[in-house]
Amino acid sequence: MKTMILTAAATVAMGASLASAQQLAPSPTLDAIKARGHIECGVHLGLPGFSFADDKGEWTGLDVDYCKALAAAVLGDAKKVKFTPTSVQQRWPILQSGQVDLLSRNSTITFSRNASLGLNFQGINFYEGQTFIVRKATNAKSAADLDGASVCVAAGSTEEKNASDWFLERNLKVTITNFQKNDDAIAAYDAGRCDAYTAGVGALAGQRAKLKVPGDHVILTQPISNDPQGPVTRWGDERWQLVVRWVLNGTIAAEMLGVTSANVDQMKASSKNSEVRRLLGAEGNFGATMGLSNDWMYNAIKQVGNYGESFERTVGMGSGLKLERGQNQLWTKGGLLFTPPFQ
Amino acid sequence: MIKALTLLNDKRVRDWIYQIALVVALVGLTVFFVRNASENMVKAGIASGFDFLWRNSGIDVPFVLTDYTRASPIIDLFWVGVVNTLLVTAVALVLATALGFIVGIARLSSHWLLSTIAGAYIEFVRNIPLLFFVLFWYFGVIAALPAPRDSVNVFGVAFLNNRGLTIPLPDAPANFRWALAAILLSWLAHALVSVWARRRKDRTGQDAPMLAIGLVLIVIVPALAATWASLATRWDIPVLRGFNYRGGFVIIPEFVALLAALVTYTAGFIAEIVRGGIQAVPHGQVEAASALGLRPGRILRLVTIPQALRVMIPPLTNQYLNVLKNSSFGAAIAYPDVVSLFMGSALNNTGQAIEIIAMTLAVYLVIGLAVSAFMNWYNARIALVTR
Amino acid sequence: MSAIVAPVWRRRLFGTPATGVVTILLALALAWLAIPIIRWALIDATWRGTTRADCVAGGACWVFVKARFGQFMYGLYPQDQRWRADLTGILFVLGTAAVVFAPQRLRLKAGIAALIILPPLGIWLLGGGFGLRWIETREWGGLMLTLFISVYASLIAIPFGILLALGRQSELRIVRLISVLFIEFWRGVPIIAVIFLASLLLPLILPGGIGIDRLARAVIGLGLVIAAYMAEAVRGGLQALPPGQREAATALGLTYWKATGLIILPQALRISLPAMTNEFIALVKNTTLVLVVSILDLLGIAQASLADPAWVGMNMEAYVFSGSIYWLICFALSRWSRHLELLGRRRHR
Repeated sequence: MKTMILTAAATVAMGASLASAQQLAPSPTLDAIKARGHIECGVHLGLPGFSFADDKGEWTGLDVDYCKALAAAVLGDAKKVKFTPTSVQQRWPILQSGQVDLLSRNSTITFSRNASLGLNFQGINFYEGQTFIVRKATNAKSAADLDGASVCVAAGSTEEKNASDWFLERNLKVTITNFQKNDDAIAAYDAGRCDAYTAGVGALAGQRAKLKVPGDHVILTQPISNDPQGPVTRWGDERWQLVVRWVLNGTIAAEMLGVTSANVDQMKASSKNSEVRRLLGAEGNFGATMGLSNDWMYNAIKQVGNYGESFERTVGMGSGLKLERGQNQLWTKGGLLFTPPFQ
Repeated sequence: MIKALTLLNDKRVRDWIYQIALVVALVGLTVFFVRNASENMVKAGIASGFDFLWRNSGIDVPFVLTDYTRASPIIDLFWVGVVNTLLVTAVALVLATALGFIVGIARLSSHWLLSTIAGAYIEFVRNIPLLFFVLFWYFGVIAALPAPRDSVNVFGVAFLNNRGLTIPLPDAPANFRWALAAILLSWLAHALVSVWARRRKDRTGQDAPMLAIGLVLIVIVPALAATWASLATRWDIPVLRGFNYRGGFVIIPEFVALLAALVTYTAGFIAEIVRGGIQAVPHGQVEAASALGLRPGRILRLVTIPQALRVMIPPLTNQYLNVLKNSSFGAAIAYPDVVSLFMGSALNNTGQAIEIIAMTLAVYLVIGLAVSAFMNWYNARIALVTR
Repeated sequence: MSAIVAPVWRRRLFGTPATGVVTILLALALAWLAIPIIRWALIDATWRGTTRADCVAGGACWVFVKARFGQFMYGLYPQDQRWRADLTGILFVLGTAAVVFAPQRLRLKAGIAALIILPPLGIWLLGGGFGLRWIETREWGGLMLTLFISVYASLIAIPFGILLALGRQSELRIVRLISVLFIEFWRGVPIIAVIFLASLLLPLILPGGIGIDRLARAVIGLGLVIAAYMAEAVRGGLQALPPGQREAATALGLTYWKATGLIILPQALRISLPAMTNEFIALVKNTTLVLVVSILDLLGIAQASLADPAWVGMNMEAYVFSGSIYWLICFALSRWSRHLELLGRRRHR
């Protein structure tokens, strides 16, 4: 009898552990994050609006907010994230070698990066379009007016190739000078080395503040490319990729469903919309399916806010950059921002 | 057993055992590293191998001396970087040596103010990181130069502005190849004639008119060849259109700034070597020379420097190698050298860190070996021959 | 008084017509160069205030340096913990002084004790653990980091360099070959590439999962290069010793290591000390290169502070200030090295 009970208990225990093992694929990254108690997030060296450390070392920005939301979802606390500033040159090796868990840094999603660098892009948190900043005195109105100009750019960035391709296609002769860091390039532009500096619209809005007399310069409105940007992980560890992807989707879904940091408690308690209830963990067990707690998105939105709140605070009208939502508006409101449903 | 013990007591046997153990340990360590690297790379999905060198580069370079275009393969981009590294190193070597000699001799001048200024320069330059010089010259040079519209006009053919010095470029290089061949031939002829003249002098004591021959073969013939080539070729003279001058060849400010930084920095070290070398020449030599009635300038040129050179060559070689390695600081200011182009742009586009770093290091090692070999040869040539 | 001094000056500067002309030309050039600098740095400079708006005089805005002084010194090291960095610095200075001024017979023991105690103590004080708050290396920066990298890289470089120098002088052919290859390889490549290499390759060549701190990688990379240069400095000392020294030691029945440790190295190191100090100066200057891997040493933090929109256009101030600190450190060290050299020469007479 005793043996039978023991056997039965053992079988049940084994079955339970098997069941949970079947549900959760092993995730070394998540295990490591939980063990060390914080997420390691790679960000841009310093780009106001996206990732910028003030003189006390506090990071703010759209890309930074995403990592904070991720930390809230995974560890329940938006403060449990540490930022590693990365240059254009170092970003991929730092991710590939496992020094950071993900990159959340304005890096464009491209085929060759995805296919040959061992990187996976987990969605889009900013639709960037590349353009130029020029001196007002040059009277250039669009990129096509830049025939014969010198352009400063960060080496190895998509901007370097985009600009080169775009001018070549139109048979315009432009000299491109490659710097190691964005800051070096913009300093050289400011010193008069180049007629234009090129980067994304959002990035330029932030970097313009670094010029000596920002008012003397104008950002050309017509973008020459589309540069979708979002969080990047390395190949392998599918469950971690799942988490990274769906936390981003969750912040977008929250905006669409009208869940904000202010009303999230009330929504969780009384919303009749079952997608809201699933998102916030009041129904189903979406969080547990990925090995997180069920109030993963509740924590993220409560502590960081939905995508729209974050956008307004960091790069939108509530910030110094004053960017329009434009393409970064929800698809239901004429933008491109989209999330698959939480079902 | 006893035999084995006595074997162990033999110093030679023990030495061999130590050495074999060392080699085994090193090989083991290397295998361990390589295996980890290949495992890690497969896991991370990073490509490997040298196939990437033949892929289209797609990178624009503002300062190209080869026939590279953005459609060329990455291997050509690599050569552009190597050539640019060599160019700035070679020019910096010559200028830094010249400036270093001037400062070093000024340091020993009997004129108090002159030697104090030279001393202050040396102390200033040697104790500041080179990176400061590079940044200072770069932003200083750009700030000092005018915008393209207000360019400094050099005889209507060359234009200096903050985009660089635009100089005319020949449309067809064929004539210049002939001229270059003629110049090299005439220099070779001069070398042969001077060897012949020296031998004859040793044998018969007769002097050959070497000054006149040298003037003709080293200066006049090359000047004539160059003049002919430039007159017989159509030139692409830069003209101001839109933002900047079109046509011609642009010497970019990054080159000038890096060159200026390398020259001013290295000159401080060479000056100390020159001072040490000259002070190492026994004072009796100078006294003897002036007793023979030589003027101070000639004493310096004929007696002091030739003897000082022997002391100076080894440390000078080190400085020359430093210039080569320090040219990599150009990466900080967008000078397209091999580090900036290959370890920067190309590495970013391909992600193949190990291959690219290995090739870049190999460039410096090979050039460095060549410089050392040349300096060793020169050192052996000027070494004191005791008969 | 002046009647006696003046003629000396006059003779020195205006002794002959030629000397006089040179003096006047040099004085003019000096004035042309120095007056704008002095005006910018001192006369037209702004010293008081708190924001950029206070700088209206047109000269240097030292207010910026004042506002950022803490960062220039410590980087982002938490303010309430900065005493730890200060204490580490004081302990290192006191330790070194104790070794230098210890009586001759105690000096070796004091040196070994300092080498065993100080480095781990410094890492503990700066990094934390065992009762102290953890402060990650990413928060270190500024002058403190420059000194840390210099000291710890030379802690790797000096012992390793001595071994390499001995290897290069060894009778064992393979040991000699390996030492020569190692030394010439690291001496032949640019340090900027080595730091890049260390930060990219170290994580790749170790088994997956073993992470090395970013700063540690830079220190190891620099340490390896400087070891090769140190080896050459030590070789100079070894070669300056008459071969009779080792022969005599061996004849007395001392083993290789005993002879090396007791007879050869103490003499050789004393001779090489000035050269080794010069290599240390080069190391201090080369720490500036760690900014290529986003480690913010003194120059790095100066550059990073330029990106602050609240202090746009402070390039000159940042570079002049940080440059002067490098200059002071390196100048003091080079004076010390020259003093050692003279001391050594006097001893030989």
